Amino acid sequence: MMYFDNAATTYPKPRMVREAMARALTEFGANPGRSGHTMSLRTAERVYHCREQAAELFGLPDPENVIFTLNCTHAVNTVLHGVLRRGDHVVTSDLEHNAVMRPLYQMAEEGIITYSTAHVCEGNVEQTVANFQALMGANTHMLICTHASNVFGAVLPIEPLAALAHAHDALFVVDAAQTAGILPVDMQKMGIDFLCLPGHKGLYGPMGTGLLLCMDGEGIRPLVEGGTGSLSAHLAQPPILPDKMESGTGNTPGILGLSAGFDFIRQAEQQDIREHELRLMQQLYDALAQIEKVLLYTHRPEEGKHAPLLSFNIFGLHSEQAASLLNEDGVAVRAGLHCAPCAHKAYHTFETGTVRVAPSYFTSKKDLYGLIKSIQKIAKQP
Amino acid sequence: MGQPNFKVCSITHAEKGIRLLNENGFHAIYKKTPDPDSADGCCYTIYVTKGNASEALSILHAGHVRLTGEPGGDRKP
Repeated sequence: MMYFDNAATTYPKPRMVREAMARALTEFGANPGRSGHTMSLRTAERVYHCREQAAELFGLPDPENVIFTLNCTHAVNTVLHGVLRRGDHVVTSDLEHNAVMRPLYQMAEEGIITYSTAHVCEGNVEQTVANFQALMGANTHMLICTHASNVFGAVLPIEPLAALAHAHDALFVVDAAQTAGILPVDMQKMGIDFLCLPGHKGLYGPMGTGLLLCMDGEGIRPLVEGGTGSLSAHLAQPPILPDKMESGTGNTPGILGLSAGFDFIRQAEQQDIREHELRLMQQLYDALAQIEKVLLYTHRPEEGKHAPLLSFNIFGLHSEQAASLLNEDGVAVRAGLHCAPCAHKAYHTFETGTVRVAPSYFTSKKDLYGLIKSIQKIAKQP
Repeated sequence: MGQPNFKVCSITHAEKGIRLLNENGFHAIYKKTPDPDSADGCCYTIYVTKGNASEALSILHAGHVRLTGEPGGDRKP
């Protein structure tokens, strides 16, 4: 199989991730943060190490402000429901995933918040920031946006948007679903208050892992309350991070797998991963631009402007049909709306969706040539 | 104060605390508190077996380690 569905989840996972998960079940099988016996404490040490790795990679000073979640969507929901209050206004982009849009929509439907959507002009930072600025109001409490479109790869101007949010005393929240582990993200340098990310994509951890990183988590309310193994005489939820936000037994095998994912990125070097993936997408873009029936929607992927993924269509075919034909040739891609209908409306691909190609560290040139050959074949069909 | 110990309510803060102390020349371990305050319930105690108590406390405060109760002394790990 030629696997190009890495924007949904990376596959394969590095051997060290698989081995770490197996060890979690054999050597670190106790519940961390609950008991006082040796295996429980040794497991807690490993879990804390994963917090340290996340804090270091993403420029967060305090590892205890790293919250384990089920996935990026869970992290986004935790912030939106945990921070926003009745009457708040939120500004977001028109490239958001439903992880952001559905909770915003639902909270607006219930009359809790209002929100506005800014148009992102791919490659035009000034105009994009101006579009956001025009929507900021006196009651805007949050600016939330994706770091890069999960469909088209366009990178949003994070630092100027952080400055804009803070100039209006608003919180700045970033959904790094497609960039965590691939593009540099430093919360302190970039001015990010809350960073939401999946563990199972660019960080090469297993599915069922995600992270919420909080620059200051004092005011956030938890989505779930319950046992934390701490201050257990009190019926009130513990007030400190991470306990406040992590009730119930966590996903220790997943967390230890994610920890090995951090090790993998450090060993492989994030910049090398990014350059490898971007080169592949540039080669793909150049090849597809030569095929008459292929429709491309973005500029040629560039460092700093695009995450390494690409959307296209084959004229006359719905994206799902094209993906099905690619599957017959052993090519795994994702088609349709990619849970981002707003992004498709912005790029005028809502009716057909697109075929999305996303490489990983493990994607070879041979895989790429196989993909191109298959697309050429499908495009030639009458 | 003899060999100092510090109660923390969260295992994450216990982990952070002993790392900070050990990185700064102390020798620290933590265990689940054997005699927890009944008002609080489960917590952990950081035992510093080498080093000065007030310096250790300063390091923990500077590192945002959330302590619970008053620092103690002479409790054996």
